[in-house]
Amino acid sequence: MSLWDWLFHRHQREEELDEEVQGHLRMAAQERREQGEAAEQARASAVREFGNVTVIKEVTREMWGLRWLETLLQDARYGLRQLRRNPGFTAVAALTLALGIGANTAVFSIIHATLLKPLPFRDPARLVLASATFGGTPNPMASAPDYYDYREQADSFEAFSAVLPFEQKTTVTGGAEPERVSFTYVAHDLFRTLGVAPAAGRWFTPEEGLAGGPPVVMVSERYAQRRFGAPRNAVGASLAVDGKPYTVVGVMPATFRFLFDADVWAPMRRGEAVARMPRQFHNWLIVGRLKTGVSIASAQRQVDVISKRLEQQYPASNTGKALQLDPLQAALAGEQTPRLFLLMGAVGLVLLIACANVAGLLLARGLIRRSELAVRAALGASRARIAGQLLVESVTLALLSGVLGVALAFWLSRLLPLVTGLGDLGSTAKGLDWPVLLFALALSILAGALFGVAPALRGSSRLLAQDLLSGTRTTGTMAGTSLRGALVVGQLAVSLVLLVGAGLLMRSFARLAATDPGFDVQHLLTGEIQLLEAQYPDPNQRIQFFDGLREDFAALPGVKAAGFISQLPIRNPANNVPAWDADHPPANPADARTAYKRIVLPGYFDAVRIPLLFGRDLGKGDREHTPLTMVINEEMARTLFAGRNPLGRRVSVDMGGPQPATFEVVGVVGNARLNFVGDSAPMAMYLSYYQFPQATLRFAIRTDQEPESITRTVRRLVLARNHDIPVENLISMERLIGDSLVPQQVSAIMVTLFAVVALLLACIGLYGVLAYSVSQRTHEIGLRMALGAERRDVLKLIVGQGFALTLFGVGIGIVGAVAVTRLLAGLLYGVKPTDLLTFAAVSLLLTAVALLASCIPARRATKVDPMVALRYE
Amino acid sequence: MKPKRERYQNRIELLQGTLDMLILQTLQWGAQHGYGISQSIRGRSGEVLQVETGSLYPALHRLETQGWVSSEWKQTESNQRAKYYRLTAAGRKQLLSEQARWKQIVNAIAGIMNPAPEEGQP
Repeated sequence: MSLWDWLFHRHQREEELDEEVQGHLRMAAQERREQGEAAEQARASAVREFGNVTVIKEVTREMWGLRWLETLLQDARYGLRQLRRNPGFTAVAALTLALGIGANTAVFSIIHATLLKPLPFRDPARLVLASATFGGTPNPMASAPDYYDYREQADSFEAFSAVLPFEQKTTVTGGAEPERVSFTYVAHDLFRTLGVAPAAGRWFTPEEGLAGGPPVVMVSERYAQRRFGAPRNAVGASLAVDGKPYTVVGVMPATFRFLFDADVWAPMRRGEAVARMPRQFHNWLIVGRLKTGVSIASAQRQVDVISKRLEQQYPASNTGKALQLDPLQAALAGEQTPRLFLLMGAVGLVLLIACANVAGLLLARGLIRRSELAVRAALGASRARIAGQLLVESVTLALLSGVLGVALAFWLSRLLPLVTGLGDLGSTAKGLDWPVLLFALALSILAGALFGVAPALRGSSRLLAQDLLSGTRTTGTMAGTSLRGALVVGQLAVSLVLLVGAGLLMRSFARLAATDPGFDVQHLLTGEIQLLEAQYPDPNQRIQFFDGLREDFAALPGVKAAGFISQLPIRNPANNVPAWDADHPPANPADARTAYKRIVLPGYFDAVRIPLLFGRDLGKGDREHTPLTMVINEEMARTLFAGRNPLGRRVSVDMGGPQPATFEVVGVVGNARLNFVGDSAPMAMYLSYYQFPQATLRFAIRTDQEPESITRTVRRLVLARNHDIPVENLISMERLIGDSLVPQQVSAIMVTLFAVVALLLACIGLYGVLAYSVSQRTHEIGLRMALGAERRDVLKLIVGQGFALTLFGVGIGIVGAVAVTRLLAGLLYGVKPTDLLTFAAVSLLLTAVALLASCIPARRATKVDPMVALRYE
Repeated sequence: MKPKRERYQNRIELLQGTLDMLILQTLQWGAQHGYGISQSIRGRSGEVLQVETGSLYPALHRLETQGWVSSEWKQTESNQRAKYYRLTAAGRKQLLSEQARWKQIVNAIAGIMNPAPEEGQP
């Protein structure tokens, strides 16, 4: 019988079999009647001769095939009935498991989205990320001239493209209001390389990637929808970007996403502005598509040859520089991977504990169901059959939990992308798709088998016939108790590992949040302003604008000071360039250390409260025709001038021109964080805006009230000065820092949450074992009390048992934690993986909670009435 | 009850696998229902071979699953509905190979049970 028949014609076949048997009986009876037997007698004889109708039907049905499916369904139905009959047990077990399965499914859905699911590009296996390396360390950005050299010389690639991988904002005017949109430059063939067709219009052409090409941009479908009503309308439309008119040639589909959500892309034009920076400026991310049949290894060999050639050709800029090819997906997911695996490990442990708990519950219930199983065995069920039945029951329970778990996962998976930062790389599609659901299904079955195996083996191995005879009291349960004891020890150990991990992450996060950033983060409102080049072509106009704005800000009620800088700490990271002591230049220019370059208006240090240690702040006097000056941070003074007075010394900086620029040091300020909160203090130098009057500046306003309460005033002030300048994303420095720590915070909280759940489950397990032990030892306890034992002694007896289990668990857990937390090292800040305080505190906590859990059954034991206990036979 | 006991004593256990062959052989002469098959085997064996219903029906259903017999519901001579089994082409082929195998077994067993007199012996 095929599965189809089984599904749809099973009943018919059952009926036919019945009719066939009845027909046989009728014919046999008829023949007997014809031979002279009485009707009644004939019928009875025919039935007797036929044999056991039920059994014969049964063995006949087995011939249909798919008998195992029948058995399975029968067992599952029976299992469901069992679960319905014990709603309390079912609820506890199913919720416990659902928690484990749900958490695992949610984390897996992220891993699947970032690491396993193919990127939503054409033939993504052939895409590689080419990272520039310095002395073997990935940067990973490469310089534009290097990029063009590789592009021209490497023929392993079908396409070799690049993108400016920093999310930038640019001003688009001409709409109802000026707006800031996310913008970046891409090589003309980036979208072709990735293999994503435009939703409307076309890709950039090679001519548009050359200097002097027509002014064109591509926009996102999202933006086209918002600005032009429909993608179709956008094509051919004019868009004023940064005050200059561009023609929209194509619209990328809404599903397209690469690195970040950009709304406007402009072609990287060889020989123009951004693509003209010299070889020392590494800001392009290279993406290549390997030719069909070319392995990444052979492409790497070719690229290495080119790197060597470039090294010889340009020793000043390219010594030690190379290009490293990695599969695109792995390379992009790189940073997220450890945190994802951390979470996967944590939820895996939670599931393990949940399984152990349910196994414990089932073992306990196995004792209750002993007589039922014994009856089945007595009626002829084989050991395998009983074990199978118990396993199917477990898996049924697990599948039920799986359904609940998926619901939980659906909710959790919305939370998890926060933990992992980006969460996804290629597409905006999220959620639980088929592979994830399959994972949940497989996990449920696996979990069911895992926690079902011990009870199944025990359920079938027991001397069942003896159980039938033994009546109420059992003596042969020591094995069951010790198995449950071992489960509990395991659970406590695993909980300890999780708790230690959680403790370390929490402490690490606390350290991170408490680091002194080197400036006063409270009461600072941050924002950014970009002047349109077309409106302010003269540098002096820009200086005038920002000077004026600074005075306006400072004059606002509730504002103490306002600072302007090219890149705010935390908010705008990166931008380090080679810098060295002009009197002691490095023998090899490639050896020069890099320092972070920031451009400030006077008063910045004052506004953010970075202390001025020596010398003076930059001032109005450091202007266009005066010598170049800079203020450096303590770290830079220490590194370049080790102990000597840095004031008046000269520093050479590679500014991207043919010759380095030389500055005089006029002041030294304290170290302050530049890139991110846990950053070490790198070298930093602050230049005068009057000498480098660029179009974009960021500001930090020191208020004496809640900083975000003045955002409207600030916006109005800027718009009053120039109606074409949008002021968006005004945000307090405290919030900025808080947001930047969200991944660490959420992963610490999640792991802690999981650890607490694990601890609770383990304690429930411990409680279960002790409670059972008390119920088994009622007789013994009664006897002890009758013989004069105090309640305190009884309490000690039971709590002692719990304490012993706990100590075992803690001991094993500590060993396990020492082995496991080493893996966390990369995620910790300022805390060692073997932090003694964390280990001690967590062990104490676990012991205390476990003892508390022991006290409940112990107190019940003290309530035992010796008379009742002894009579209870 | 006497005749029944006698029949019991005379019954010969069917060799493993021979029931299938007997059923196929019986169906050679035309479609038949289960009861008819068992009666036919009993009659042709001179009441010696008694087919247990507990073996017959599983065997019929197994043969059907394997495609050697097919079945349809028809009226019997006494106007009752019964399930008739009929040999399929595959079943006919199977019967031929079973017959050949059976001959081999019979010859082999006969060779053991009635050894040809060895030369040199009186």
